[in-house]
Amino acid sequence: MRWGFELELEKGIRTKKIWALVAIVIILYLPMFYSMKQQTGITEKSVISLIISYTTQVSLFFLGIMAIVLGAGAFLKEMEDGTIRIALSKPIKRIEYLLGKFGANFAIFMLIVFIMTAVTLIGLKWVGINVGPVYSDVVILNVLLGFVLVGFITIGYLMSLSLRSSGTAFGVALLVFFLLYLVLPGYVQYKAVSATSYSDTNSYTHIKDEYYTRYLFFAPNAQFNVILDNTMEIQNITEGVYGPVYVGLGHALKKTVVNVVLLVGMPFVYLGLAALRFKRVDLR
Amino acid sequence: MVMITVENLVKVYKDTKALDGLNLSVPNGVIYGFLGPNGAGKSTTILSLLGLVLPQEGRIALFGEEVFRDGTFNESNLVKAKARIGYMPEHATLWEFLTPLQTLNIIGKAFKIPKEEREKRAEELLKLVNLWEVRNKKVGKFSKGMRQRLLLAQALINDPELLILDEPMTGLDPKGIAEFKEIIREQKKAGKTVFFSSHILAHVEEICDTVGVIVKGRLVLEDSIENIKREFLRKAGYTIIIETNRPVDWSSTAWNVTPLGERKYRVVAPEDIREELHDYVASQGAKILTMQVKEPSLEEIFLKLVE
Repeated sequence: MRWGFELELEKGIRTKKIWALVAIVIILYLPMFYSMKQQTGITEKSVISLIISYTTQVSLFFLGIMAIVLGAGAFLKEMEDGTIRIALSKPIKRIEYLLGKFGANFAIFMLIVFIMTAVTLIGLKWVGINVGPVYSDVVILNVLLGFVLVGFITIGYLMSLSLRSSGTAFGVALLVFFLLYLVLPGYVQYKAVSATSYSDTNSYTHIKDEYYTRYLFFAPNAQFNVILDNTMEIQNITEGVYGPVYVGLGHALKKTVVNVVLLVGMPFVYLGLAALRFKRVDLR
Repeated sequence: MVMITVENLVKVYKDTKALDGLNLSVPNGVIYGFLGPNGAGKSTTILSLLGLVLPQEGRIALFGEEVFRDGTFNESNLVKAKARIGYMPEHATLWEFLTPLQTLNIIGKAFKIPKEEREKRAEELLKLVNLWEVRNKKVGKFSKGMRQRLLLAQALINDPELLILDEPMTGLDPKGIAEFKEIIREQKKAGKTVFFSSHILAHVEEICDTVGVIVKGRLVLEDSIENIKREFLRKAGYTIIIETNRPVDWSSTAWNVTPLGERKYRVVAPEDIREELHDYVASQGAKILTMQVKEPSLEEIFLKLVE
């Protein structure tokens, strides 16, 4: 396993596309920090809300595409190049190779998450925000993002081990990503609106989250969304005035244990399915 | 010891039968040429030996240990066997972001070769395949021939007892081919076994002791090159071209004689008739000036078999 890990880690670190995309995501964070700096008297709570919306809209979109495409090419590209035949002609078990590859991809995405966390904290410092109160939320947010990305990689593995060419796999990966990121959540939201009333935000969010958990349990981004939805609660802001209040990611995690388990656990289910497939696939 | 034993191996890809009850036996210390036309099942056989494709039926034993039986690989026996094998694939590239030194280092790690020994062996092998000068250049910038040399070097990193080479000379220039053949001969001298698939028959004829011919997933012939030729001659007949000092009357012989000129003849007989030919020509009061026995090349035999 260690051998496959070392090889894949070296390959991942040397893949320029990954780092180019991370750089783009970081650059896209700059307007967020700039707008924060322009606002006077911005609170820590509104800062973290802004970071969450940037993470779901920018980081998740770009890094999610990268993760699923990377996973889709993970085995097919090696089969096309023939490197997998060289690797597995050595005294290495297939399962060890797969776990090594997964371990390295996991490590690379956690490194990306670490970089994103560091950039966020440095950005907040530059804006002049006291990072102490938001520190743990920024870390948890990025670790959860890391698991979403790992989920997309393992979904990609399944495609890589089921399709015949890397070109097809990339196309299917993009299609699956847009299904999971846009089409299915959109459809579930439509069903949630039909079941409630869009103006009743509280019950709409509640139903939407329930549908996301029940029908989109396989989509890592949907579980991430449910957890983040629970960082806001409708509370009494001033006397008689109710509105969304940020209650923190720690609070959200406690309320969404099932979604956390799905988010962390589904990548391992996908990995198990990929392992079953990899054990019997012809590497020619 | 028998290094490779394959019994009734069957591999079907969707609707194509790549191996149709293949039987094969490769003894220790030989250079075994595995011949066959494109699509005959050569690569599938090799990939099956290494556990890279999964046959449906049959049995494979490597170094006397069973690694596959009826649809299941014995992973631990296979891993043990692979530790003693060097494999050079057809149509493969190595990791383009690595240099030859890094490539051999990382492959050496897979065999758990200690660092110092790994470095020493990498240096020896890169010098052997003439890549030492470019040891720090990325493989991505290598020519096809250089990649082939590195593929051979990686196959030798563990000093394998069994070297499996799949179409190894594709892309090499004549100098490279000569060096390559020499390396293979050296392996044999060191007591190693080489299993060598090719469709370039001249290479096989030159360096292999034993030849196996696979056609449509079945081994149709397996013997030494000398025996194969002898047997082919026995079946197809000997062709002898002679030139005599004066014309000869062939009407009283049963041989098939075709005049090629006034005193030049092609004689085809079911066996080696050189002595009888001398006697007959002498009985006609003539003398043989030149005699040429036309031996079939492996290529002719191969084409005949494929037909």
